[in-house]
Amino acid sequence: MSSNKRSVRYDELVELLWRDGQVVLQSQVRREPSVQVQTHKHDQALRKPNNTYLENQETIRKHNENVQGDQETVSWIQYPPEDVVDPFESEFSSHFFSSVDHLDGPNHPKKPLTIKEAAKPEAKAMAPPKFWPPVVSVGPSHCGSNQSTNDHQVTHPPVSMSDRSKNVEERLDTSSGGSSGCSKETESGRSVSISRKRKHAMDTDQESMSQSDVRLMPTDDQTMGNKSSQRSGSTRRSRAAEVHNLSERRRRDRINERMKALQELIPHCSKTDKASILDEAIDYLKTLQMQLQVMWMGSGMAAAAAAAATPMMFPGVQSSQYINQMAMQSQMQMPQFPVMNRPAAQNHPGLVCQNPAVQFQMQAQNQMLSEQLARYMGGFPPMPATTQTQTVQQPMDMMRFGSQVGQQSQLSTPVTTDSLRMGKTG
Amino acid sequence: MSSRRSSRSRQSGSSRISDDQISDLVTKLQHLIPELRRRRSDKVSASKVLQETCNYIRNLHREVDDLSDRLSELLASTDDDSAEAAIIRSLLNY
Repeated sequence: MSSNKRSVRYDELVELLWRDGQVVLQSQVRREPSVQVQTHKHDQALRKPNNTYLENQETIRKHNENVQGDQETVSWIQYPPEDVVDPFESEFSSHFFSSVDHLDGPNHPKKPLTIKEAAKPEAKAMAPPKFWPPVVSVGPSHCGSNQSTNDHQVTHPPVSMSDRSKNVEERLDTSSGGSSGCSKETESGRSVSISRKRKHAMDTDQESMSQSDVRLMPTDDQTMGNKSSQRSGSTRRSRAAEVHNLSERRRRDRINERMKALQELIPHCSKTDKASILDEAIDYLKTLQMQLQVMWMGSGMAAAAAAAATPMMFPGVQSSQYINQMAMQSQMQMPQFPVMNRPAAQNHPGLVCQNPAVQFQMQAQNQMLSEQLARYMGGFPPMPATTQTQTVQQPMDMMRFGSQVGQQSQLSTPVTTDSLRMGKTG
Repeated sequence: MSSRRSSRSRQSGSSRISDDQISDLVTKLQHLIPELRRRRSDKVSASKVLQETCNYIRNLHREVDDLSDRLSELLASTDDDSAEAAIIRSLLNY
């Protein structure tokens, strides 16, 4: 079935002729090399005559390439989807497929025509293509869009293009990576350019999708020099974007997993959003620190009491030293401690875990503790006064947290003669 | 954080607010952790803050356990009806 379509200008329509079982595109522009290149790729494909699809494609290709001379034979790409065909197809195949499906007759000038208009002619000699399932599926979706878009293949709806691009992308090594990071438009643009390049339509606008080019065309040399530079540029860019995305994702994953770990540490935490978890973590940390402060104080006092309670026959210096230590630890100003023990005047919360140094954050807490200690001290069993005299003094100082301790102590009087007294002396 | 920037551009205003909030909370958390408080730099990553928080909480837990053991020992050594015993018990049940 050979039909003579109206010959068209290189930008518009290509005359399709069926010759020798192949569709021959006749266009004004003659592009041998591109055709050849295409042919290489497509040679692998089966050449099937009697393919209207082929016609369509050819026309489109011709448009793209502007190369086809009068007698160019377009070899249709048989292609596995991964082939060069894809980018190319993404552009046109969609139209093709749709058109092919619909086309019964050998020649349907309309579709090819429209396609041609849309696509820059890249004439290629191709054997009638076989419909590739993936392509075909894509086709219908594209078809409409393709038809509607006259200008550029790129104008295909990004979605459709992306579908195609995806096919292409699998093929494309770097480009695919980059494209994934890129927007759909970029992808579609890329696929478009790829197809162009495949056709090797030098004259047609060639996108800078060098990646596809590389993949598509075994010989990159065919592409123009600027193309290769464009290619590398875009490759680099998309690679960088991809790398950035990956690292960003990794960083986010790391943060999420640490958030989960934190959530598990916090008791009775039923929140799952970051802000709430962080909130609860802050409160819990403050609670823990306060609790530790109290416990240290209490244990210090208890230890002191226990030490004092046991009758100590040795000189009071020893116990007083011990108590001194406690006093030092519990006092607010503890410059000798290496850990950020700042004067209580400062508003730094936080408990140094490494040593029992305690820093009271607030006066209220101090008062609470001092009261507790006072009560504790009040109930302290009497100690031998003689030996304890010295010790009494120190504990008193120790007990005096800040200035208020003494006043707030509720020590009962009987303590005076005995052990520690709070705030009563000095 | 870069995520903040991108989410700003992409998401609605509400997410923008929470991103700042979250960064605020992370800073507050950083101030509570003695290790990180020293650094005082704004460049401490959230991931590091979270990690140090988890470590710090584990340390605090361990310290609480140690103190509890110590207090219970002390409690055993005191008279049960003394005031100090009461205090220690209250501390243990804190």
